[in-house]
Amino acid sequence: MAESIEFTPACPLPIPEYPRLLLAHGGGGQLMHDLLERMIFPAFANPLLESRHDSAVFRLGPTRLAFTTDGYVVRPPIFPGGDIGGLAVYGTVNDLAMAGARPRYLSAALILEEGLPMETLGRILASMRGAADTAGVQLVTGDTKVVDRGKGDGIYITTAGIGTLDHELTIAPQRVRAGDAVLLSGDVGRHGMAVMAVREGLSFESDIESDCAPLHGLVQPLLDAGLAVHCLRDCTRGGLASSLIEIAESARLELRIRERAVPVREDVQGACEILGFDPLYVANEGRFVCFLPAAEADRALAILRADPLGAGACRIGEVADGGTPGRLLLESRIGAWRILDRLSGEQLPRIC
Amino acid sequence: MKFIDEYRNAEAARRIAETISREATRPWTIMEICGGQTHAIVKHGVDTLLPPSLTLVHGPGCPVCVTPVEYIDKAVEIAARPEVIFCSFGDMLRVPGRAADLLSAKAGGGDVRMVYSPLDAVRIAAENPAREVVFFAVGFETTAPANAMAVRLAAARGVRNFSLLTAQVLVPPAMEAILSAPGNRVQGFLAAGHVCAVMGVGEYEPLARRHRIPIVVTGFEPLDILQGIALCVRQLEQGRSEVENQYARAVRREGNPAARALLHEIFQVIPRRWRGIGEIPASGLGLAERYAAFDAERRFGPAPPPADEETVCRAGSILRGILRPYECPAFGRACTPEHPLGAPMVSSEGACAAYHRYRRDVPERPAEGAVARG
Amino acid sequence: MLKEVSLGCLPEAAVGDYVIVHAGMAISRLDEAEALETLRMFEEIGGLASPETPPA
Repeated sequence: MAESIEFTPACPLPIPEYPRLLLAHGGGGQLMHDLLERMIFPAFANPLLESRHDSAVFRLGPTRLAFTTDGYVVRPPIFPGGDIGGLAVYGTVNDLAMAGARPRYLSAALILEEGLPMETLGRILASMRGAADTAGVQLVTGDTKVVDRGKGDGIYITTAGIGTLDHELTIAPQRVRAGDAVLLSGDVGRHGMAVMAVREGLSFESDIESDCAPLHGLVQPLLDAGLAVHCLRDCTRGGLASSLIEIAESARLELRIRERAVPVREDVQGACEILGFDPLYVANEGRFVCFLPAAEADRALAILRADPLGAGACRIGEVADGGTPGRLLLESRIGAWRILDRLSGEQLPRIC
Repeated sequence: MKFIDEYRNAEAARRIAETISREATRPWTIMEICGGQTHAIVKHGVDTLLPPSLTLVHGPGCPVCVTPVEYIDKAVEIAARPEVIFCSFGDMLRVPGRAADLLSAKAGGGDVRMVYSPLDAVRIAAENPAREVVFFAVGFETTAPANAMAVRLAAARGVRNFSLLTAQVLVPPAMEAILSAPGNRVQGFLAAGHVCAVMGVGEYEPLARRHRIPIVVTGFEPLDILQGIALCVRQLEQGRSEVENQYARAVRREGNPAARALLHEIFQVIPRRWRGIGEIPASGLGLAERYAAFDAERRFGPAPPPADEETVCRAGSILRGILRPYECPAFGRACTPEHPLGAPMVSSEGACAAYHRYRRDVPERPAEGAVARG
Repeated sequence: MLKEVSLGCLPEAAVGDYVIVHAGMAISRLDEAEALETLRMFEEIGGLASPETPPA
């Protein structure tokens, strides 16, 4: 019997196209990338959209403006270190900051589920106000809708944001150059693991808190100092690795980073180990990467570290001179090199 | 972190890799048969530290790959029923059946929930007495104790609305099948550390003797894997074929007797089909007759009859080192990274994707004897 | 960090022990003496100048 067994093991290929949307299509990985490329971008094609950066930047009369929009569906809506309201405000101002813009005005459309306690709504609104004050922006227009019980996770928030650029720099992946240093503003994995921990009923001696925070206070001093910032990106859905892969592809350059240089707090690492996540792919809401000429890296780090929010800023790698365009290489902790890919869907915790 | 960081030390990794390079005087093919080890090797890039003469082959050690397609189909069918809450480990959710996967069942309205433990599924059953809760019990001997405990708990607490859809597999029969297959090139094995933590090392001694092959019980951190490989290479060079325990900090010779007793009570050994391989006798665990009421196949009907999957993909031959990617008829034509036909073309680290993307690595003509290497 | 796991197969586990957990089940205790021995072997196997003499 054993003699007739032909051993041909093969990993079954995941289904590449689905007739219906999956949650994974929103995960920041390959499925979402495919959805954007095959359906969404083609529907609207225009040069501003093609830049595929966190905000659209354009000129209206003498003024350069940045314009962005975002949707927030985080579950649970309240988590250690923040809630969906603060997240919505900070996430939006950060998209503007990543284009080098000073955030000015936000809008917010609330979609509320029948049965949401008024107290919860009040708390979230207060968070939004607090976050707006901290970020120095005003919420100037909005909308409110209510849907039937069971048709929305308590509360969804969609925002739009406008900012102004007081400089003539173009800050986008297309500006990245071979030899640029890659800087990271602090430790990673906190937001995603804070949310996962609540969802999975983990608790800690002291809670992992989301790193949710506004970033333009860190970005502006870099611009004020006249540094030639080439590209900025906040590492939200899909984590640090996904942001870097997108930039590598948009810039058509190879990036090389060192795993040992990426700071991860011990409790975050522990949560990742237990739940089977890779911290490089876990969402952050208060961290960004910065690409700029290597000669300016030390000055940039000094400026970032002068702010408590940037205390953990560090250099994690560089843009290769040569190599394969669009590739992200990681030097692993044990000194071996490997290629980092997009996640196929969203990060599913690994069990075996 | 204690018991983890020390096993990821770069300097030690380099030294062990150098020892392997120094001691390996001939080409050797070593197989590891554990999804967790495969993952650790890829994540830390362990295989890139090995000399080119050493071929590390990934065996059928991952439930994602070996669960028969008809069980995925059955899972999808059960999950679509309105009364069912279908619970599964995360990494099974995207495994394709013949038409769909569990994620599409969820998108289609099925109540599919990811859990970390079958014990969570029992809790869900207790909390939802009007629903039927089914847990997709896949995995090797490592996961079997948790699956067994779930059944025992459900029985003890009178939770009747709970059942297992079992597709559990055992490692030693798979190793036997691989070693007995015609054209087998595997000369040494890394045995799965956590399987052995449960089952002990005794089952591997007859295998080592019968096939004259070294078997090293190995852990999961990169240094464990490197050390396991080093010990295996040393045995091969010295012509020994023993069972060695690299993972002694977690594996005792007798394994975990309490766990083994639990398995013996709740399960029985049955024949099992493995995806991509076929049926291997006495290679699976099913529920013992006493616990048949907890078998989802009794409750919801048996899994559909097996049917062979058609595939152009030659992943098996490529993974065994028999075929180079560019020698596959579909390479670069029907099969590219944008439209992959098989797993080695999907990931940037897959053999075929690596050859395709970085064509400069491909020689003008295959080197003499490259195809026939042992 | 705190997560509930079953000790049903590891009745001898005591507070302070390190265990291997799989799918919510503790399956093995980590033996500190063996762990240190393994670390020592990493040093040894890394530093050996020549392989052992094969048995006759």
